[in-house]
Amino acid sequence: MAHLLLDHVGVDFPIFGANKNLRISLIAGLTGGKILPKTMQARSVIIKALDDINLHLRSGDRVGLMGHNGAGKSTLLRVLAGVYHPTAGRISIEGRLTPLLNLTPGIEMEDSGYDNIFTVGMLLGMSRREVEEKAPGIVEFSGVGDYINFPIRTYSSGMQARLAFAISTSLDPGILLLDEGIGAADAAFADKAARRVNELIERTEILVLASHSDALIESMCDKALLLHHGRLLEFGAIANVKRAYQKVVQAG
Amino acid sequence: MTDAAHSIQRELPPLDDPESRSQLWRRANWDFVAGLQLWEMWSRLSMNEVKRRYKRTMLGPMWVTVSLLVFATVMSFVWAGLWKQNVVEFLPFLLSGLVPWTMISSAIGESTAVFLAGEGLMKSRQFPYSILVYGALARNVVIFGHNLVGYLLIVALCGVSLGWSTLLLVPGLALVVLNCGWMCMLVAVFCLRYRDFQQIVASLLQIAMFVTPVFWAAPQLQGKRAIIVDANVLHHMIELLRHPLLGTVAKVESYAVCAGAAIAGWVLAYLLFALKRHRLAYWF
Repeated sequence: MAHLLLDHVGVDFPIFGANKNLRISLIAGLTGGKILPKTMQARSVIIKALDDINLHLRSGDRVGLMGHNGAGKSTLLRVLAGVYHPTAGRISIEGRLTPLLNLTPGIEMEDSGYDNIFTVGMLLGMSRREVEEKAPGIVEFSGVGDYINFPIRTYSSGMQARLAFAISTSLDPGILLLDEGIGAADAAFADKAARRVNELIERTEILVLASHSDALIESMCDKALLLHHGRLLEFGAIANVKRAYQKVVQAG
Repeated sequence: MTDAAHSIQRELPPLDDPESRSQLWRRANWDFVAGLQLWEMWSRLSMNEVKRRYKRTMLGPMWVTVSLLVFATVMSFVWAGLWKQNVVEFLPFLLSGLVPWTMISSAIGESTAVFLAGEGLMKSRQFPYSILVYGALARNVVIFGHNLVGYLLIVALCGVSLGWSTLLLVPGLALVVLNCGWMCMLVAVFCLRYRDFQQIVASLLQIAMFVTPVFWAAPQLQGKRAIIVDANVLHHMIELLRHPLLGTVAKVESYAVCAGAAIAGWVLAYLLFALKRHRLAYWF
């Protein structure tokens, strides 16, 4: 059983600017920071990206993250992915964590499509044997045909997108983290693609999807979560959260 | 080894309390060990990087070797004249220093950007960050192998007598790579946090190339200045490879210095990495 627990989680980002760097550290070290002007004395600027987030998700939960730009959706996904270690609170995750924040990590234009299935598949969390098992299905679904043995740089952008889509949707995630969904912009491919995404979601135990599109969240999730300035404002049925979001928007 | 050990999907030991040193050590150990087990991945990624650099060139990565050989030959011609030496003797000597130096300096030079180049991956999932450093090392060892082939070609032409002592190249290379490892790790972490270090390391490497006896022989520097050579770890690292390449045996001191530096350096690199690992992603 997969589960995901955030206990008073907070994330503070240090912002390293031009005036807070090695030069200042050195000067501060030499002078004890006493004779520096006020602006230079300031320790690094900190931004609170997430503040006191409590959340408990269990198997079967499909949650959409709502909130405007900078509300903390991507940061929350990255905390769940283990990219950012929380600066406050505790996080505990059980299950096979599959972050799909970047659909084609390590993609290599000079390599053949077939080689790239291995590079990308393994970076997305599959073992070599798993990729070997899935490679024929991926090749078939992507529909690139004989091009699979050619370097990716010879592909049209549609072919590249279809291959990336086929690889990422072949995963068997326990906990799936998605940023703005997975799409393949290809009309003839749309139905097939939608079915494949649904199958992926069905295999998934817990889904967390960040999106600006209410329609996407409604089609893939059964719960939603509203983030505002890094705080969790509302968590529950999608309709309720949407209402809360509208209120936030109206309040400016 | 099981199939799962080769997957990047590995369970990272928890860190409930960043103040808890034992959890930090456990995570660093996990990173180094799991990273090594992912050899298939980092060798693949680092070779892709080489391919990208030399894409659609006829010689591919052999370009490094060719340009090194041409450089060394031309330089030998001029310098053998300046220092009244025989080109046929000077060329193997120069190359026996230049080939190891190229490996050491480009491993360190590349590690100024390994984490920066891995930003996409580091911001998309959790994984053993050490694979990025291992990859840079592996890449330069492979290029060293290419250069070695070129070197042997020159040696055959110049008639240097290699012997059993040449086998010392293997332990020598192991010790040198071990030392490159901690240097690269330190440089990689520092350069991510303080971007100025990229420039600092680049200039230091340039100075080191001339301060270290690569183009000249260590005994040429006499008197008090000899300390520049004796206290230079990079010099001893090169000695471990240069001597076997010339069919001679390096001094025991060089082995001792390299072994000591490897231990001290790795303690330092381990501490830095363990204490800061959970902060790396915040430094982009």
